[in-house]
Amino acid sequence: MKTDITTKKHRTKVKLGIFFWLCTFWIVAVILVAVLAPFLPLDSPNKTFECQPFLAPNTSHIFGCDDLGRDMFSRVIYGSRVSMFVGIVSILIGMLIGGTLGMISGFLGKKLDTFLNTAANIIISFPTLIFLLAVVAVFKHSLIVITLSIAFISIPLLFRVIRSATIAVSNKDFIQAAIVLGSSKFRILFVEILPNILSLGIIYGCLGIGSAIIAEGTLAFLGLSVSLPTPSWGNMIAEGAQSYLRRDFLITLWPSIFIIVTVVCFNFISQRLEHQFNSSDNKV
Amino acid sequence: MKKTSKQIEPNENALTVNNLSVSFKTERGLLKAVDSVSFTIPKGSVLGIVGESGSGKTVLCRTLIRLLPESNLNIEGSIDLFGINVTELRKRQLRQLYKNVASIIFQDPLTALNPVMKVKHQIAESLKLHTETSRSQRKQEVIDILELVGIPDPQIKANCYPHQLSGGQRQRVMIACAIASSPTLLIADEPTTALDTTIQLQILQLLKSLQKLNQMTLILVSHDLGVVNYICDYVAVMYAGKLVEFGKTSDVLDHPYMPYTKALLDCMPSLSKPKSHKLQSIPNSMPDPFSLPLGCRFAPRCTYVQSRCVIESPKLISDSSEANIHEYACFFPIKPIVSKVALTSQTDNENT
Repeated sequence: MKTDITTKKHRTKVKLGIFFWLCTFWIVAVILVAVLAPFLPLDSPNKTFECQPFLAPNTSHIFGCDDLGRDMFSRVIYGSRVSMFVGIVSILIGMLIGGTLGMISGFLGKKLDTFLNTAANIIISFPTLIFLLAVVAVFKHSLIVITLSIAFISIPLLFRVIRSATIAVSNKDFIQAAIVLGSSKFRILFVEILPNILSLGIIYGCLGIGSAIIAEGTLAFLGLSVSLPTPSWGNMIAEGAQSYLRRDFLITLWPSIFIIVTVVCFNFISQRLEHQFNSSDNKV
Repeated sequence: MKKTSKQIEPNENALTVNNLSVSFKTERGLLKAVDSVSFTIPKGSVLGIVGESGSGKTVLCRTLIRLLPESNLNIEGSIDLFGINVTELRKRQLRQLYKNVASIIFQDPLTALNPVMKVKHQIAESLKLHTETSRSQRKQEVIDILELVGIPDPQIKANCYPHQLSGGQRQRVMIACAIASSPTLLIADEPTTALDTTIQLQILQLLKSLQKLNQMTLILVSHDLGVVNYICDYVAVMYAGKLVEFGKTSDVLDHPYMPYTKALLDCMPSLSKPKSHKLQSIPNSMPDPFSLPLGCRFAPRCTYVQSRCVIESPKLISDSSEANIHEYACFFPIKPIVSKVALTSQTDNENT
């Protein structure tokens, strides 16, 4: 019985707020729909219906149709596949490479740290958009190239965050204590340090996904992301904005709403988690 | 734990420090944190290192096991720890030293435990590195050690995170982690500073009993002479990086030769003195490590200062009149006749 009391007493309830769960719901829903899009009862995003161009939203096409009579709703859904894939995968790659390097660099220090930090500073000093333009100009603008180049941009940023967090944790007494116990460096890095900086990784990961989606959107707006007619939120905005903004702003509006809401959700989740992690850290 | 109670020959030395200097390269120049320190302590004894903040206590004892960041660090002299020349060790050998010989307890139990690891995992890690026992055995050993260090309900507390424990309990867990590796040398860097007085005594008693049980050599860093008097066999007094007095605790604290030791003793409050008695303090503060006085480093604050003290730096002199070691660095040590006054006041101090 006693065990029950103590364990329950110590388990503080996590209060993240309704808005956090709304945001999480939105993100999860968008990811699910994006993954399952081919299996959902949706019209093909490239199928043209025999209806008038710029059809207003109605019961059969709830977001209406674009200039070619394509269903806007399914185009937005299929567009999310590109945006979410680029956002999540590029940050995962960035976190895996940047985070690992950051931890190693921050923990081992010395020449390796100086070298990696200088390298990170050099990469950060590239103008992001021009770098992306150059990469896309040299290679084909395929999904993989876009994802990898955005991941490349994110590596030094995540590297710096994780590196400084690792240095802060490395200077704590418990790391010294682990060294005196004779623990291996590998163990200290991944068992002692990693759980302490994981929260920060999640926070910056969420923020990063938002930025990556924006970056992809920007490229797509410039026509440098996946090539048409494959929809992505960015190139849908471009299509609508460049030609038909005055005739029918809905073509631009739908993908814009999706981009904004999704990015805001990622940022809000990140901010809320940061608050949560910090307040629980203060309790320690 | 039991298997480590090695036979200890009384005359063997645990630690011999010879002419040890530790300096840091800083932007302002070379900072000598520890300056030509030499002393020897036998196996199984308890050494107390006392001194003001910034006197080099912590640097000295972290140097003993090479725990300081090596960049910008310069170590001279030699440290002989159970026959191991610590200053010459390479990084890989250091790990062996930590695994088999030395362990340390830190000042602040709050930062010295990993906040995201359960207590049992932290102790088990220590056990895993030193013994080859199965998982279930280790589980039991963790509980045993927690019980040994006096944690109530060890079964439950083993599953707690550090923030769920009180300060005293955390310090006990720290001690548990340190002794789980059954070290022959345990360095306790101000282990009771962050705790309140009632817990302090308990922790000291615990350290003392563990030291006796495992026949460890214990080095205790403290600025509390009461603590040192309570637990230590030997005491080393440090001032501005120099060892200024060294000897058996009873000798040094009862008959301090060095005015600094006496001044430190005078700073201690005493219950037996009348209420009107004003607590003494040493005027001014420690000299700037970058512009140390030419002569004796304590001279600017010393009440017994004479012209020679300002010009010449005193060397550590051994007191030849006694069989026991009692070393001091002073040209004009407080003679026994003078120190009779100090002696009576010291007996008062012991009662506190």
